Amino acid sequence: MNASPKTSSAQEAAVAGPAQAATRAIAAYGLPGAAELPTTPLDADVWHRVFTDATRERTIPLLAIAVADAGLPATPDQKVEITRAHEQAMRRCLVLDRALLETSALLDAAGIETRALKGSAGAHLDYPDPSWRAYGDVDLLVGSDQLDDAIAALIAAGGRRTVPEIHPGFDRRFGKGACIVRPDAIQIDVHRTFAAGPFGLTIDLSKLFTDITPFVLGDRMLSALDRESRFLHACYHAALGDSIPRLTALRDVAQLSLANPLELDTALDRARAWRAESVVARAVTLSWDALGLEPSPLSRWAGSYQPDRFEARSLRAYTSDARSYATQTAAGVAAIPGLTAKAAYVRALVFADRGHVAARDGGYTKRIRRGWRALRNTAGPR
Amino acid sequence: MTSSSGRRRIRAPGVLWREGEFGVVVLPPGDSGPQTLSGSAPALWHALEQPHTDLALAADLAFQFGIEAHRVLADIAPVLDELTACGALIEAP
Repeated sequence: MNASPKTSSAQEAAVAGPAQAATRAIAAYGLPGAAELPTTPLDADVWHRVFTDATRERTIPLLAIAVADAGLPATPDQKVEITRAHEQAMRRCLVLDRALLETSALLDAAGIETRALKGSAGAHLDYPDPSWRAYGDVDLLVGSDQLDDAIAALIAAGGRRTVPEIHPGFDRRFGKGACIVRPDAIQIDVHRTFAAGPFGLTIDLSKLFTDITPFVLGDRMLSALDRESRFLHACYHAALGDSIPRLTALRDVAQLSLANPLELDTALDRARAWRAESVVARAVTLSWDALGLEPSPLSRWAGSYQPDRFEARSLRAYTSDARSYATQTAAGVAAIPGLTAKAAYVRALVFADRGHVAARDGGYTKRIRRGWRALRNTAGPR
Repeated sequence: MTSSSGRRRIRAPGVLWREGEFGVVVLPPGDSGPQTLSGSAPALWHALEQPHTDLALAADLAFQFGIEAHRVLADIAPVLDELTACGALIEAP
């Protein structure tokens, strides 16, 4: 017999509330000001929900470490389940690390300079141990002038580009980068900048190659961004990436700003120069809210920050209900300096290549409709 | 048995690894897949940051775990050979 709606709703509340609180505390585990974890093992239903959420949010390592440290008491079955999931996540990360090493060696041999971004670099540089952070792909930054060569080298090595370039020369001048899938199905995200659209077009990209932090992976020395740019990149990813950011992306923001000393003034000066203080403010606010952290000087600054007109309009392209790649790209016009460059940008969008249109929009008619909607959404309320 | 108790082994320079409650996951350079070392094998992996003969390694672990060295050597010899075969360990000069 089915439970009555009233009963099932009460049962759902009995699971959802404790599961949400535990998930949030686990995502903040080990940070100063994190919420306390339950002091007794979770009920089976609550555990199931927490485990499912941790899998989706890529916080399995934090759950495993909380259980291993006895920060979260667990039953023997729960310990077995989370230990196995942590092992599987780490096996995957090692395979991705090897792909990062192979890719950086391949590009290095072609004379292409790279910077390791996000996953592996963050796991090795920003967490107490790399086993605290799981990730799902490989992210590399290359210079604008070497982007085409990098993509060509990866394709020559057997990779496949998921979405063709919008117009020849667009990527190296205006684009975020390209996604290449290797024959073994590992995804390599080759970045030129941190985001598509306006906030990706105002970054001083040369800074990302001059200020670096080295780290050792296997028997190679790789280069990552310096700490302040890693923090800013974490903010771009959390604030402008998925419409609902993963908890692990929000944890990165908090981890970089709380767990180790961050030159906050340097980071915010850099954000101001990139016209992206609102990106930092949004990322920090989302992080503190989602992880339930105690207020800090940074979170208070974020809560009181007022974006200027450019930032407010640009943010809408990433955060409104109408957010899309088309909206972000259309909003990018405002961030491009000079009429000639603006014209080149718009021309590339209007006369997009057939392969790109087929992959991204499904046809020219749909693309025109989508572009018109994007322009209207970007303009926003007058 | 291919293991020689007199030869010295050490972790291969390019080997990738992670540690947790599950033990140690090791990914050697090349095409091999990840291998999980559990039980007392993580202690063995940590010891092999420095070159060790199999005998010295067995004596060290025997002391740590309070077991007779010849029994430890019999247990670890196949593990060491397998890790050497997949490229996670190399012979130290």
